[in-house]
Amino acid sequence: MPSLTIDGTQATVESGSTVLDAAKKLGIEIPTLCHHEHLLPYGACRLCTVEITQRGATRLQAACAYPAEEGISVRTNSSRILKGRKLMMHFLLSRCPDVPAVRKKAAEFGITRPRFAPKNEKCILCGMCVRVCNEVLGASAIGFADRGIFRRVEPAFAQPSEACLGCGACTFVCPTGHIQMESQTRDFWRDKLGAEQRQCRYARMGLVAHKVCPRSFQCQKCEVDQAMEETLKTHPAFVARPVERKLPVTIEEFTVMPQLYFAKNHLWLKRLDGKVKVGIDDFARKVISRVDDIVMPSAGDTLSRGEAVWELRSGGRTLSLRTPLGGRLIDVNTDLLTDPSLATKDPYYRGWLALVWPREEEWRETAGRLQSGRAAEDWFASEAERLYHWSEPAGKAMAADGGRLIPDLPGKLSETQWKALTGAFFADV
Amino acid sequence: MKIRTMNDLYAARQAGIASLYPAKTKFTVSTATCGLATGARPVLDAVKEEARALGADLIVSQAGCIGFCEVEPVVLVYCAPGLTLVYKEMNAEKARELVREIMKGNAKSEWALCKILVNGTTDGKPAGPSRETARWLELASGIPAIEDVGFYRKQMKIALRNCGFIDPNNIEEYIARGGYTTLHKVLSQMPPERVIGEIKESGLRGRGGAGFPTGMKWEFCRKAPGDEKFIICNADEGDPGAYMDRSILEGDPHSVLEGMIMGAFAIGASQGIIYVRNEYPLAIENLTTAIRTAEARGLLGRDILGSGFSFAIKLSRGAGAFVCGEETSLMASVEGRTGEPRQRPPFPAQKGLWSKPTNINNVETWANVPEILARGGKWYAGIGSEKSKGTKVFSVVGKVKNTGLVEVPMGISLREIVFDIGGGILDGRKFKAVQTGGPSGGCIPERLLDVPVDYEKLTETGAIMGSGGMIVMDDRTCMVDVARYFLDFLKEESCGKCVPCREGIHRMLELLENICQGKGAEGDIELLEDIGAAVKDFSLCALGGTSPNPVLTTIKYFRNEYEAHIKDHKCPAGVCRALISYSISKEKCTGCGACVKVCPAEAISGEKKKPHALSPAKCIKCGACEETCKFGAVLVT
Repeated sequence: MPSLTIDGTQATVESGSTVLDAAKKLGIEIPTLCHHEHLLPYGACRLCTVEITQRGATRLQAACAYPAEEGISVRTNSSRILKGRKLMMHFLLSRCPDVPAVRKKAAEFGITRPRFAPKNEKCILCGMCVRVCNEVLGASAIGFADRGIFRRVEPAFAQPSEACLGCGACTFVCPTGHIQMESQTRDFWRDKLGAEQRQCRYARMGLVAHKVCPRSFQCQKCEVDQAMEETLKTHPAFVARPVERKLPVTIEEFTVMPQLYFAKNHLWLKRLDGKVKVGIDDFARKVISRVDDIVMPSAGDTLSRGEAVWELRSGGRTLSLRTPLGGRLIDVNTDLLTDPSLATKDPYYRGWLALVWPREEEWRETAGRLQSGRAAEDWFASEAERLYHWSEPAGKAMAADGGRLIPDLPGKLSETQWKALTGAFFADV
Repeated sequence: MKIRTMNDLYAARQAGIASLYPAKTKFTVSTATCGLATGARPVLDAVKEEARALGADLIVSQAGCIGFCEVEPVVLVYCAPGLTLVYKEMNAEKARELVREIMKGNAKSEWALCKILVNGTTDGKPAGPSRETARWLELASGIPAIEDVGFYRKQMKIALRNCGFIDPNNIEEYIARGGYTTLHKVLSQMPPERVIGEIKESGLRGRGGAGFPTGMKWEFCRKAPGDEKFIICNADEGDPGAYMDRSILEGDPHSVLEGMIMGAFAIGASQGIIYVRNEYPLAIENLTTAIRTAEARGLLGRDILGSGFSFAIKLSRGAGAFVCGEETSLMASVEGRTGEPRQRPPFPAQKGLWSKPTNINNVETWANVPEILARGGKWYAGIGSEKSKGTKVFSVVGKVKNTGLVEVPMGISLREIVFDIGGGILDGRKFKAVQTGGPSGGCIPERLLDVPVDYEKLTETGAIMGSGGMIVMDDRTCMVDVARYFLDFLKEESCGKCVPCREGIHRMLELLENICQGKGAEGDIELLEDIGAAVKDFSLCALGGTSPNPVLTTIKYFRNEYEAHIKDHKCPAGVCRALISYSISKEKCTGCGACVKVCPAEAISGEKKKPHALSPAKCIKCGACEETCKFGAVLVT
């Protein structure tokens, strides 16, 4: 628990807190504009800039993104800070002179009219829409285009995005009203999808397993939707996946990634614009310890669910993995051929195995068997339990130091034990 | 054929010496980008054709740039043991004649830039001077030695040690000049801590511009916990007018690779990435060849030099975003995300590429490493000033006689660089300012020209050391216009993420554009200073944090010029079009009519041999008449 000083007052905060969190705890107000409690620190508006003194050196840093480190001393209200913040606010008001939220914020600084030539923009580029779409929904349907003064928020190539869930979280978080739910996306779906394929936005967000929209995506006319919104009192996206889920969670010794789906044979799946990326999860990584060689199918092959397609070799042992999802294999990670150890070094990113393009109904059927979010965490906990107490005698070898996996497990087990272990944990999809 | 032992290295070195210092005459054409731009390709072809036509027994080779861009294309002729003659300003025709003359035994002294004599018979050097050498020395007696050429006299080459002298695609020539030999020593005899110790002792600081001590950076990364670590070489050189890194990558790619392998060994990294901008096609080509050759010879990849240490290098090409030279943006770009900075901490040494501990240095820093470990940290620390050790490469460009790439010991004064090495100002004009550090740097006026090249001393002036761009300006340069130029560059190169950088640069640019158009108002200078200070303080990354430097330094040193624009509506340097007018001096005009012909607006009229007149109403202020007039009769006021 680090302890720091803010404006002369000592505070002890939980580790992992930011300077802004610490100030809040002390009741010291620091203005913010691009900060959102459900999103990761971003540090773009710079209104929360403070003076941080550490080991004799003073630097100006954004309180929302700076970690509350042991022994630092923070000043939130020096004249240098106040003067700079005011200028930042001038910049913002001159950019968006007609936006009520910006005018209100500016008024807090005693600024009522723009100091520079007004640009009459509606967007302050706080990035909340982009971040909620990426961090909370995992959809990444919108992003920033261009640089510098030409920067703007757009779907890729300014075309309606197939990745858009139509959830409306971007419009919900937008502080200026710039981001409006484009009817384009929903029109596009109405034209493209048959009546029975029109998934409700709650289903697209993963809040309910499957629900078809009977109203052609006119959510404001939908009683279920309106009732949900009233009950939740916030955007459903934040209920489905509050921000702590965005950060990796450690269950026993295993890292569980939010936003990923997990299959029973310890493969993760991530949906990207209709395609699905597959890789091994941290449980499989810890069990196999290291990978010397990988056998993979070639891109272009058609996979059917349950087919054994990957072989991970470690020493003399082989871990054979079935695919939890059928479809066309459109890409394989060729980096693994030159460096198979990537699969265990970085299983969730660079160590991915395959990119599969399933048919929509195949995905829907598979998705029902997969775990995600809190359910995935519970499942990891039970798998860990099962592994630590796995049947004699190998179970003892594993649990020797109090229920942790011993390194290089494949090398420590006999062939029969290894077969039994992989049969128990990696056979079922 | 893999190199695994000292004997293998020795064999490669012998092969390298044979090709560097052959028993036959060798013509080497400098075919780096700068040479190619001035026509080195036809020169190379001409040399080859002429040799074939004559049936002459000579070798034709290619090398990087020897730094003297002003006199490109350059041809080096190795004519006798130990003796190289350097010829300047070649073209195809002259090259053909040169081949004929050399083969006839004529030195063609009037075309020569200098001669280079290397003495000695030890390893890595040619055989000692022979009777042939003495004969050629006699023939070349009118050619100055390289040490006596003003451009080279005060230079000291460490990072550029091989540039222009070896074939970048021939690993053996690199080995012949001591390359990879130190790597063998490091991998077989030096524990990583000692490698870091040597670098710390050398006092080497980051050559990308910020000047963080390299040894310390390596130590942080070595001590950071992590099962996998990365090394990055930042070759995203983007400052206008700067090309130090390009020259090293094109002319001596192995020095960067060797430095990276040493760094990886010291830090414990297994994977390296060179982030190079795609606008450097030749650098990418030569790097790719160098990596492949080094891998084939067992100097890169698994089990390097049989030491058991493994390290691989990959190229990652940048798409030309200036901000990607900033380390956190660079890493985001390598990961495939948008090149945008993030707040530090965590620093790359704690959480860098793919969230693993990462050490990032620029090209010039890496190129220095092998030489430091070869000769010892103490040797390097003996060069330079108190806090800035070693040498620094600068690209000296602008209104200076000898434009080119120079490497000078730290502590040398700016005056020496501009006047002794650079040869002073073009066309006998007056020196006005020198701009260091590109868009992040500042303009240093004449009265501070004796400031030594040193990280702290340059920062005190309001400019920065930067990565090495150095733009010399004469009295026809408007300082307000210079500040405007750099901000215009930055308004599109800022990533646009944070408010001070995106909006602040734009607002400063608006003010400067107004001033240049004569629409400046009282108080604009103070407002620029206020905005500049806040943008410096509040920006997220170093791009924003240093972006006001061109504005703040020009205000600091040339405030009267800003005032002249605002109060008197005059541009003293005669640059800002809205504030100047052209007229013709009745006394000086001879009535030659040259200006009448070039004027696109038909604004000049007059009878032949009688003074002409210029109609201000028609004049579009393009300046064509002034450039054309040989008599200085066109006046700018």
